[in-house]
Amino acid sequence: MTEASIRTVRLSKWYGKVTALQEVSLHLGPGVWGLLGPNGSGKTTFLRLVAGQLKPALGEVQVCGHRPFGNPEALRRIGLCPEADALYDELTAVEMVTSLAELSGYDKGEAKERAIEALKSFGLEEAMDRRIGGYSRGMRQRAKLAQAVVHDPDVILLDEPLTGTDPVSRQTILKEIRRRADAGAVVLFSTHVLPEVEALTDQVLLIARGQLVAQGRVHEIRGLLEEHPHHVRVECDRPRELAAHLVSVEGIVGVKFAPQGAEFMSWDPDATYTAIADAVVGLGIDVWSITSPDADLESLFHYLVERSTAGAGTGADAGVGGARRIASGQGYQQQIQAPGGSQ
Amino acid sequence: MSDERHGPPPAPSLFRGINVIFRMQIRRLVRGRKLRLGVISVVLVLFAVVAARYAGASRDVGVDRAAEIAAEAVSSGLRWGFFHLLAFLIPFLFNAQAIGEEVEGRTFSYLSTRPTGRFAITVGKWLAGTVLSVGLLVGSVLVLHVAAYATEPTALVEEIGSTLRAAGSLGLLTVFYCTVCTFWGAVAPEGSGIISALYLGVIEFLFSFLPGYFRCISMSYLAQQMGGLEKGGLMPDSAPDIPVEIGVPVIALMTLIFLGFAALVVQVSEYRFNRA
Amino acid sequence: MAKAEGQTGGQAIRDLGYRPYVGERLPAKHNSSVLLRHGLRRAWGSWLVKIAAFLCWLPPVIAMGIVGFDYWIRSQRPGMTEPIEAGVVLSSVYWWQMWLFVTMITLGAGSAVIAEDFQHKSFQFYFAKPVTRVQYLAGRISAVAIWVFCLLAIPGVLLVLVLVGSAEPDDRVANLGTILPALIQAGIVAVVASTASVGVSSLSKSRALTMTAWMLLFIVPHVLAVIVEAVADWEWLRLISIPALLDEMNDTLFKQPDENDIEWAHALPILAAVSIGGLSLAMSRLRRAEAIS
Repeated sequence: MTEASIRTVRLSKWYGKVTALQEVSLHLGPGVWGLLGPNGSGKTTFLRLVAGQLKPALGEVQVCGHRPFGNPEALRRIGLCPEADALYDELTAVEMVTSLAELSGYDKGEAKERAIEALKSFGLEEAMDRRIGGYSRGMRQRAKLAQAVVHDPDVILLDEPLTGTDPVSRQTILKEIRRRADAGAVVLFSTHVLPEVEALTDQVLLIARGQLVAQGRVHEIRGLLEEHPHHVRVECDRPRELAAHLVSVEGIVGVKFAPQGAEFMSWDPDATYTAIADAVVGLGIDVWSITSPDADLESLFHYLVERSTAGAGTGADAGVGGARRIASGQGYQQQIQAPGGSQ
Repeated sequence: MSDERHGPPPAPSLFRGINVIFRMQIRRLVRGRKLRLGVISVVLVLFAVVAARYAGASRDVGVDRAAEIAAEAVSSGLRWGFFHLLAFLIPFLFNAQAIGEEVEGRTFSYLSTRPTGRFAITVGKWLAGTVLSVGLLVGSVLVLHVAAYATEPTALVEEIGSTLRAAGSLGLLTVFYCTVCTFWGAVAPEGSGIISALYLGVIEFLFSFLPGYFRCISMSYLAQQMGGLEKGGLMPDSAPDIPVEIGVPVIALMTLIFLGFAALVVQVSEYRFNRA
Repeated sequence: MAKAEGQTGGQAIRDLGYRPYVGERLPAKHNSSVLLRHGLRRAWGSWLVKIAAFLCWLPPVIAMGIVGFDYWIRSQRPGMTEPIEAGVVLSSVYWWQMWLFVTMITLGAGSAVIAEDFQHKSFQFYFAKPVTRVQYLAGRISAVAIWVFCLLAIPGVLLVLVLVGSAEPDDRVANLGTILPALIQAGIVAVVASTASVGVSSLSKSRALTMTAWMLLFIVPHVLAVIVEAVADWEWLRLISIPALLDEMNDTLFKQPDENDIEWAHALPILAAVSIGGLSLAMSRLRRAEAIS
């Protein structure tokens, strides 16, 4: 059996005159991948193409080596949790998930066993024999997730999987997703809630205006954003004294003060961290925290989306390969390689 | 669940897929309101015909006249109640939304991302609506026969042949209408109810009243002829007689054509997923 | 470091905050007319209404053709044919209009209207504003009623004018007098069809189900009445059929001979009850509906 993977080559999709996805090329291997992007960026279109619900307008998509649209060989290896809050309200959760497991190839008895097991793993053991019409939003979401994984798929596609879930359910769901990824599945989940991604993985795909803007690990992508100086925030008792000591350090290009700290902008973060450490020790400054505010997803997201929006639209700069324009805009393209994936 | 991952099973056979979709659809229909609406309509028609039959025979009429009244009741009931109303209504209720409601309700993705194949989805859903429709209508015709002739045992036995013939042609017509509704549901999920109603109302109902060969466009006319019903509508004598040897293959062929196209449309369609 | 003139670090502050509306506010009584306009546009959005609006000219145009042909024959060969009676033409045209196009309009614009608002959780857009249930319902029903009325009355009045023009001089005034029954009948059909169909539309949040229920309510009782009349020669079951009752009013207003014992005095109270029933049903469902769900 071929390894669990998603591969797209110049994948494009448009609806009439609207380009929903433009020349996306990537290869995802086992692990959890966060699919990020603003509303309307093309995340759901990408997931639907991978799930075999849409046909590519141009390019190709392969799931475990097979084209997914109408192809049982690919579809049997896909589990999809769609975004829409739509379920078979007349059926109980067990009935629905059992039927869908049967459609995946299990016989009736095994399908029911697996359905019960899947529903239990998402904490629905109490409610599984009740009709779905009476479920809360969070319970419906968990029933959707159960049907997506009931057949042990190699590729799990989750569209906004944590919508409407409470903190306890959220932990259950995240644990289950992680467990399946650790066992060798490709889990691709879309969201625009960045902490959801951070809680689960640091491997992200970022889509903006239908283009893949970045692919890789958050901090590695951040490292390529060379035209933005890195920010290092130091919360301490004498920020101005610390700043005065550091202004002569090569690479530091600016400083901003906050009531209890200072934020340094630097082209050379390693040198800056070393200099801060030396200054703190040398001056005897009390430091409460040293953080890098732009290493989190939120800032990365904003950087990349803003960059994409500034120059996107013509498609002229759309190259083969995933991460475009994550470096400076001088023809330099670089792709972050993710573990388990290749380009 | 154990930490070990076994991987997905092989894709199921077409027959298994159809079987699962069929059972799922039957369960949904039985628990939904459409079946109740259908049963209420059938019961109303049965009640009206049977009540009218016994009201008509309440006066002091002879045995022969009573049997005639029963025959008239069955004939009128079949013509107006079954061929002109329920044969349209029941397939419409059970099949017109079969695919449309999945697309509109956005549950279609649960089925289309399974390895069963879209052909199984179409056939399974069509089959569920068809079995329920045919069962309900043909069963009701038999109930009508028994109820109308209950007090005339000789006629009850003698007339069973003609009633069965009418029930058979009604069943065939119902299968065709179920297919037509499924087809329009597949082609235009959001307007499936209205388009199916227009098709059935204009092509099937109105055309069955036209003079001459025009009414042969309506399968309802063919089925009425095979069922032994008298010709009605405009200039009935100008309309051709349709023997069973012609009527059955024509309706069966039309059914297969519509079913084939329905399956083809479902097979290749992206439906409403084509939204950004 | 904030500057007094609203600058921070050289970047202008963009004030995206709330600003109160300073223009004129119309009183709440305007809500019904706003809802009516919205309802008319929404109804026109249904392709079924568009089809009905175009095809509804077919029966009157055919009738006008027949009247014109009759006029031409009479002008060529006086005394060969009798002039066509205005009532016959109008009642036939209205009968076709009701069965073919009033059903289409009520199906497309009436029988799903509240169901759609239930389904799309749209009540929050109305009832979280100073819109009362009565205003909402009035807006919804009047939009359907206006479409139905226009569909019947406009072709009807034009047909009357053609009938007046083509009539013998002695009959012209009498033919002109059919304008009033034509308008009254259009009004009755509009009120009954709109209130009943909108009432049915409040039964469920499933659009398909309410549309089917409306069709059932319109057709099934009529078929039952026809069957019973055919089998038992008993016409009183017509009283449960909305189209039969409207047809009874049609015959009465256009002075057409009646083939049964049912009179307008039987039909009118039942039609009134149907309208009131539709209104009450919709109102009770709306009162129970949660604005934000």
